[in-house]
Amino acid sequence: MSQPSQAPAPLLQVSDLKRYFDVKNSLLSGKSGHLRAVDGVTFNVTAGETLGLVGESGCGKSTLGRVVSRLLPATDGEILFEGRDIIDIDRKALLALRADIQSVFQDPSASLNPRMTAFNLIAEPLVIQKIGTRASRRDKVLDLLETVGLRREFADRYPHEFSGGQRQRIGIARALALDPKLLILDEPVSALDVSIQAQIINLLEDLQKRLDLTYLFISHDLSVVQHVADRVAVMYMGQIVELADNEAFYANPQHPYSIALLSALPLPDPTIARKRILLEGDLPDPANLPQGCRFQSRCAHVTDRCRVGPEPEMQEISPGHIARCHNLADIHAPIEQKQTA
Amino acid sequence: MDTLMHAPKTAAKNANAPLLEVSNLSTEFATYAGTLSAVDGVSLSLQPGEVFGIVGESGSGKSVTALSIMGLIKKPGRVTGGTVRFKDEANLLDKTPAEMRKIRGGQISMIFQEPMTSLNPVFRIGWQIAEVLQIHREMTRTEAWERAIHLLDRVGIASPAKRAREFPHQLSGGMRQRVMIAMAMACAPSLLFADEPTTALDVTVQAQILDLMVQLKEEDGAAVMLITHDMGVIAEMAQKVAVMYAGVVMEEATVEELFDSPLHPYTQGLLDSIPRKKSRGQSLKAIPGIVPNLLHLPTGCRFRDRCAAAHSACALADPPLQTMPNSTRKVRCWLHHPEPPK
Ligand SMILES: Nc1ncnc2c1ncn2[C@@H]1O[C@H](COP(=O)(O)OP(=O)(O)OP(=O)(O)O)[C@@H](O)[C@H]1O
Ligand SMILES: Nc1ncnc2c1ncn2[C@@H]1O[C@H](COP(=O)(O)OP(=O)(O)OP(=O)(O)O)[C@@H](O)[C@H]1O
Ligand code: SF4
Ligand SMILES: [Mg+2]
Ligand SMILES: [Mg+2]
Repeated sequence: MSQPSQAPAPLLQVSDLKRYFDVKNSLLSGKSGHLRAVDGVTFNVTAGETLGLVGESGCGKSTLGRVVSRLLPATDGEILFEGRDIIDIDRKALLALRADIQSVFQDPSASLNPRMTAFNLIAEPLVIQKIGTRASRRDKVLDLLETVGLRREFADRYPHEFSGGQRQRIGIARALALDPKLLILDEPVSALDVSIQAQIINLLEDLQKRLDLTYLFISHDLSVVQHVADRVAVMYMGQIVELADNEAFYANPQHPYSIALLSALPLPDPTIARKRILLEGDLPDPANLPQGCRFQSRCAHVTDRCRVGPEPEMQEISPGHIARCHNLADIHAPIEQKQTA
Repeated sequence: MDTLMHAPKTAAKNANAPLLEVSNLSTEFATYAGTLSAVDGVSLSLQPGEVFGIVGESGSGKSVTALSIMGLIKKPGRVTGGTVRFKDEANLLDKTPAEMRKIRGGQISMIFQEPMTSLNPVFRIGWQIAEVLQIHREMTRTEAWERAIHLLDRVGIASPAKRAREFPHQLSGGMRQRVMIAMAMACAPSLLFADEPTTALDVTVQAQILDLMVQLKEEDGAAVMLITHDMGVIAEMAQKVAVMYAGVVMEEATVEELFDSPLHPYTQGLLDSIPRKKSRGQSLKAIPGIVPNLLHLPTGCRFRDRCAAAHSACALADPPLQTMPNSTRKVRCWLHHPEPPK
């Protein structure tokens, strides 16, 4: 697992990635169309970092995670892992890639086969990849149980005999079995109570340090992402609308959607009186997107330019901080300027 | 009604007669493995117009507490003790099911986490609201329908006359929750139970729904019992808070007291577990272990096996919920008791 520590070249490079689903648009025209679940997404993930991916239900976070881990084929675009293309690869290369990129999902009970013991669940990836002997696999699995904070005696228990947090630990152990480099964590703590969530977050952070892991951390919880992520990407209707370092994002969000998301987040402090920005309007139909900016129907700063198109491109605000909006300059202009304008 | 309008954070200070007073409520469930006490002697009181929050982790007894108060516990569950004083009623627990049905939807109403399970999928939403009015307000069909459209408008549903004719599946999750709120507020209840009303919603929609609840509550003067596991929602909405753990109230305080100086080690642990801006780069102070099985509670204090402050007294007896000197705060912990067992 030793990686060159200097010059962190991106471990993962995603360019203009698209994933469309065919849908029958029978309600309107009877014609079928595309649902653009991921629609032109570009980002890098550097070895050892955690990229947080946030956004509301249906914006395409899981689809993006599944395409990147090659659980779903891409419609278009490019994914490079360690500089090599992973879209056009044969079965053998795909099997090898599975070892490098592993996933952990939200609902530990839904993603673990109830008929398999913890031991077999964790050993399964090793068996599929034909790695090691029975004996060496046994040692590895027992070590993994300890790594994720479970007792070795638990190896012969079935998923229903574990609590939610313990099941998530098994899911993590299973994902670690092949010594991956990149973990796609898709809402790994969303189903857990806050005290257990804290335990799992601590475990993930600890594993990252010990095992040199890189994380794509998908979550709708902006507080969790603030705690774990080095950088944050915000998705809206299949696109990334803002990408920034953690501090820059939380201190100085640029896109109107990011600003609304952060203002809506309930904070555990009753002395903070905040002005919530309530988003009005409805989400557009993902299979029938409007012309122009995808956020126009809910945006407080919408102008004619946003409605007629073309769609806004990514703009750089400062090095490493980009957002996709036509009106950034106006939205963030100092107040005096706004009044005189 | 107008006299009951309060600014949200001042309602608790007008300490007159409580609207709801729950004493020693206990509810059990018979299971194959044995009988468990889901609610084990809970006492709470709500002032008119107040938002009272109940927080606690999954399985702590929040929903069962609310369902017990409303007379909605079904077999294999059974309310085994306690009293529920509401307005002039000496004990709701003595009411017949028919009497409780009249109170629910009228003076007391409720909204739940998943509106889909409480809305009937085969009826137009307008009729579902109108039906409540016909039952509780003896309106005619036409009057009730008109009123339903008005209520949909009031909860912020655009084109209410058109939406009233739609079925639940045609609405988004946020709109369904608005319909539930319209239905719950239809008869201007004086007490609203909201059990995880925004847990299934996106954060921007949650903000809309919480805002709507505050607005309606202030207009109608209803008290709200808000059940949630989200400390952020509690901090924004509640004036008073009860923290539940394994069937009992561990701590009760005003929201400011609770967040500023939590007394119970469990409350402290819950607050420390929350990721925040300042926790970045450090590990979270998680509470070790897991919630106990209600059939096999530890002897003594039920939080003992996870508590960082556990000491010898904690194994000897179960601490009572104790009112702190010169205060209205209550804590169930031997650390704060004048005479712990020796
Ligand atoms: N197999 C599929 N067939 C058709 N549409 C799909 C499929 N999978 C996802 N979608 C659609 O793609 C869009 C993005 O879905 P996705 O699950 O990626 O969202 P998400 O951001 O992960 O949401 P959540 O927070 O609810 O998990 C949604 O509109 C969804 O309905
Ligand atoms: N029908 C039932 N049969 C048996 N046990 C039950 C039943 N309903 C609730 N319980 C038990 O009562 C306890 C309290 O449950 P309750 O639903 O009140 O928890 P809660 O605090 O609302 O949790 P959550 O946050 O998950 O909604 C739990 O241990 C639960 O298993
Ligand atoms: S481009 Fe226009 S509609 Fe889109 S986010 Fe910016 S201001 Fe709003
Ligand atoms: Mg998802
Ligand atoms: Mg509940």
